[in-house]
Amino acid sequence: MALKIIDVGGMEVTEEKDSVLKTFVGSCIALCLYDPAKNVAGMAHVMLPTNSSKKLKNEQIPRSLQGKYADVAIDSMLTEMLGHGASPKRIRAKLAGGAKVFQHEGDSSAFDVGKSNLEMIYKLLKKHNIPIISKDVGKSHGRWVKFVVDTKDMFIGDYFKIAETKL
Amino acid sequence: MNELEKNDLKELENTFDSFLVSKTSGALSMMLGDTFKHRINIVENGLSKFKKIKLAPDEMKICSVHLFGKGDTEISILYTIKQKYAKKIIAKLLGQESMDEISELGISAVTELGNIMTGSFLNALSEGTGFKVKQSTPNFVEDDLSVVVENRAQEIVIPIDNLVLTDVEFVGTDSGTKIHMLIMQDRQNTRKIIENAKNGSENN
Repeated sequence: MALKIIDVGGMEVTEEKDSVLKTFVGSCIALCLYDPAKNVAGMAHVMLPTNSSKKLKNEQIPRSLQGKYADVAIDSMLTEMLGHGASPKRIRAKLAGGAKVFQHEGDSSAFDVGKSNLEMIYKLLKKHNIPIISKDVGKSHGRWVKFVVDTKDMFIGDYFKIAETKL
Repeated sequence: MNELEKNDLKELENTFDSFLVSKTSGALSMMLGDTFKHRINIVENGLSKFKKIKLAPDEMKICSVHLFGKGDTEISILYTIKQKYAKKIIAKLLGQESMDEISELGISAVTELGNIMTGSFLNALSEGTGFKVKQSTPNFVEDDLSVVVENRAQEIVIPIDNLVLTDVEFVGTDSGTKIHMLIMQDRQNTRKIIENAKNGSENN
């Protein structure tokens, strides 16, 4: 098994059957895209909804930060996955995270990133016609997320659970 | 640039204190399921004074998470955590009783914690001053405390004598876990925050 840890703001796409992609998210989102008919899958650790930088265009963002923004992450993952032979019509999504760790700051908080990230991801997945197969979002605590490329299962764990949940 | 007056430092302490009480402590408490209290200590020309801190020999190596904010003001935030506390935090986040070695996933967990605390702090800073500040991704380093602090301070403040260092110590009520949040700025950006926070509170 090849374990690949995705850093905050990072992204990984693989075509290795024995790969396992893993990360820890709080308010961020672990977004997994995969082609069920092939061993092509990716995971992004999304921090923010969009790249609003005027200086750095999406295509100029370094590889190590391509998971940071939802818009860049989805475009980059799709491009790489198609390059590995995935079919755009078959691609599916599983996602987890977006904890409301800022909920004590009130609903009006401009920094409710968990919610903003989720809304942007839903919008972009819809635009690309990518169905969401399963998700574990919201709540008020962090969780670790594991995606097994071979089986396309996503496992979620947090400190309230004794065992990981398969999604 | 002239040194900051004592009143300025007190003003900065009050400003940061309101941000930390209202936001950051809450986010940390929620993530770790423990109530965190904090105390603040601000020192001008902070690096030389910070170096005087003595640590037990087995605690020289620390885990650190660094982020910076750039935009209407520049600010560098470094979290320093003794290894024994870092292991405690990671074990808690990963649902384990204890932890012997810090794993890659453990690093991912502790950097996400730094990311959330910083997001919460910058959110409060934005609300309190009107400044828009973009947050970097977090970076994890395990090294000697003085090396980590000096390297990060030099990235944001030149000359280093202009450093204003705010040391916030968070202590978990139940766990006893300690996390230091070192907020680093130069004097110019410190003044900007004090002025805008003052104007913000007068307008409210």
